[in-house]
Amino acid sequence: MMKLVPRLYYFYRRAWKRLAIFSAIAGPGIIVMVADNDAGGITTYAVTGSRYGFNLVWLVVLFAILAYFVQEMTVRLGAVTKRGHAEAIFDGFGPFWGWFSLIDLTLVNFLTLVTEFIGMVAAASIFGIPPLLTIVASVIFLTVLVASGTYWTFERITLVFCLLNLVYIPAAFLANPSWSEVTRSIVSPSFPAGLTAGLLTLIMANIGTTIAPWMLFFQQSAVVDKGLDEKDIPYSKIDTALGSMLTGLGAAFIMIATGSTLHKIGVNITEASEAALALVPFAGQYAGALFAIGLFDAGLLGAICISLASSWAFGEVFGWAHTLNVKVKSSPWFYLFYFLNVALAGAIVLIPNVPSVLITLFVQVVAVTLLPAALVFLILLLNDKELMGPYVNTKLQNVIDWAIVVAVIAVSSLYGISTIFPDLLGG
Amino acid sequence: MRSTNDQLRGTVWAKRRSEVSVRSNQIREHILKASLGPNKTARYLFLSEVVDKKVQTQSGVTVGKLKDLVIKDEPHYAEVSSIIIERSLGRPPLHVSWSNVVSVTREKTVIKDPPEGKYPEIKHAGDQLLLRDKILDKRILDIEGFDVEVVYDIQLLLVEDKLFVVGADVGRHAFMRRLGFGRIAKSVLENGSKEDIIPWRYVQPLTADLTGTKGDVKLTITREGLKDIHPEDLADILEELSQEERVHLFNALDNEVAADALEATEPRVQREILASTSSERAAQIFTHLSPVQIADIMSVLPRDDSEEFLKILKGDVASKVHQLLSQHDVPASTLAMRCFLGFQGDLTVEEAFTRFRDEARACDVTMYIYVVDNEGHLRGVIDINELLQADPARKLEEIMTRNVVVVAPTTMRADVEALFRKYRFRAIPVVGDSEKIVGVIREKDVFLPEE
Repeated sequence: MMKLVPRLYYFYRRAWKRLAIFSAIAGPGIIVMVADNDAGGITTYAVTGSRYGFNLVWLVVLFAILAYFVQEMTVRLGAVTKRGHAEAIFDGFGPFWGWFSLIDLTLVNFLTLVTEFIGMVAAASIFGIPPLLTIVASVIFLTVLVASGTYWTFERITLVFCLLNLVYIPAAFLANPSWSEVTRSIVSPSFPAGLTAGLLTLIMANIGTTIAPWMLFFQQSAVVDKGLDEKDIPYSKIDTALGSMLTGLGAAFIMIATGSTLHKIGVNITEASEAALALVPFAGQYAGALFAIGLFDAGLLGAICISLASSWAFGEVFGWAHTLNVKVKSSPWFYLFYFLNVALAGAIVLIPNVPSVLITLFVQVVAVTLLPAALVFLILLLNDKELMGPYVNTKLQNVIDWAIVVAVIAVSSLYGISTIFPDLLGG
Repeated sequence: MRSTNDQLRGTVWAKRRSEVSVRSNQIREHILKASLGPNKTARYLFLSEVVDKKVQTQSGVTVGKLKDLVIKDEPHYAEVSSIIIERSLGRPPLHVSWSNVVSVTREKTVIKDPPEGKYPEIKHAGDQLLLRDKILDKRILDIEGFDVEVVYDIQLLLVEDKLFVVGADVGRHAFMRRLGFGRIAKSVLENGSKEDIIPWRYVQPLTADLTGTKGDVKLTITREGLKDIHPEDLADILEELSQEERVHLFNALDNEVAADALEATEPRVQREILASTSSERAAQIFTHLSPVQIADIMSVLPRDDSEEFLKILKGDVASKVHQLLSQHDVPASTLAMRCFLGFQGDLTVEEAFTRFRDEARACDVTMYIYVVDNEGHLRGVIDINELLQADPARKLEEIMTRNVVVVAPTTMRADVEALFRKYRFRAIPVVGDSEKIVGVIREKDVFLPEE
């Protein structure tokens, strides 16, 4: 019917055009997912890899898929309602839950921000950069990044940093892992040496870093700020899926890098920066350097997204202009809040002997109180036919989403409790 | 970005070429007559030559790149009413009215300096169309050639200070030019024929306006064009389109044409079409099909759907279809059509012609005339060919063939099939007890397409 050459030309042009549209719409999903591998995340994966080798690689791949289903809901909610998550909770569930979520979010975000700075400082110090310089430079960069007055600028620059997250792939290759073992772990998932208490804690930590409250708030607000519409939802879903693939890939390769070296030798680490240093004798200084660059990048990305998530949420609730598309002069409160967040968190890290263990503990506890509420609200909002129209959750989506939410709530609560009472699981 | 997603729909445009030879230059003449004095000049441009070139203001400031042309569609020609300029660093595109455009060339587009620092905002009217977004690289349905082609380029005509759309270029030259081999094409290929450019007058949206209210004029033209296409060709075209376009095209067809086209398409397409057809329309379409054809279509549908469609059929048709669907082999009585031409033997050939003209239209089997007596007993058969050649004054019983090949109502399909293979008839009557004719089986109801 249609001749071969015109047909090929047509499909080529159509594919090209779709790609162009996708590249214009993509952003929030990739950013939130890659930023999900923040400094804390890198530490968790590195530790997991050093303890259990490749055995848990399948688990992070699975978690990345879970994260897609959760984040995909925020895309639809944002594109349909044109409101951020904080605003949606206020409108849907009243001021009590609204304030509860907002305060919880701000607190947990601030503390997480501190951990990002700790990660960045640790990574920079491997290259001999003093903490003060790292913090000041980062704070200035973070402020300049959002102050351009266009969302687009922020998004495109941040996407470059997302690309940098791929350094773990060459790092893993330098570590020269046994790929057949890696494949075996993914193809036939198993728990090494049974489900011990130590392993359970690590699994819970992995889930905790993969699905975090700020991610829900960030992506929904970003979708709104970008001005995405209902018709952009399919592309936004692909954006999110691509992001979740990248985050799964990143996490897997971190585990492969540490699993093929530190695990083999039996070095146990507790921090990602230790992993970077420990890698040097086994995989060469380049692998260590790549790992350190990745850690710094992860901290930076996390810091950007987390502080923006807080600022958007505050702006939504207090009715400030809360978009990156206006100049600093036009929405001073929004930008001031952002700046204070970043600067204060940086300052705290500069305090000598900051109790980082205590902070991590506190983050987990507060997150555990916030995450269930945020997830349940999210699903309830997505089942509101009046609000969502044709984009309401389908039966299948509900089954998957509820299963994930129940599992995540159960596991993260257990994890929160176990961090407060470490003896509970026997160790 | 907001406008970019819609364009993926509405990918097919219809064109009519039938009058091209008469009117191929009509648009040009029309435009020239309307706006061109003896001293004025006109210059042809292609859309691909002007888009993506930089846009400057008169004072030399680069604003961005020319992204698209917005046209206002008039019955005979289209005029560019505004332009869209893509700007860097994620700034929203500028929409500038044509009155602010100074010149458009292959090198750059020049616009006036913004009055008071800003260009006046333009409201999107319903009849405006983005030329590059919605038409370039889209498919175009050649209603005369029954072919699907691609709009490689769009020819524009710049007359003094106005820019008109001349037509859609589907030729090889445009194809090469778009691939970046414009120079090679010029030296290798012979000059492009005028046929390659479809005048704008005949380029009409198939999906957007056929069902819409705003495009009534276009709608009639397209419908007229569609009616003349052979169902088999329509079937091919339907297979070529996307689901959404297919539904639009199918909805624009007459029930009878739709029935024939539906029967001729491949099962996958039948399934998709019926899934989005209302049951009322389906019922109307099914009245133009035989039980065997309906059963054939039903057999490719998901069970739920086919049961739903069975409900809308009339009792006797429904039971036959059900039987055809549920049983591997069926008797002749199920395959037979009830409506055939049974004439008395004492009719003259001329009288038979008159009755044929009156009755044949509503009948399923018209290639044979069956001669019957008062009680409906089959006495003979006349091929319509024989009737045409016969002397008008003769009686039917004089020219009929008396030795008729018949089957009993209980004869199974396999045996009927064997008879068709042996005698190569186009229809075989079904005769019950005491030689009474109860129906006629058509060849096409026995040999199904996939067999």
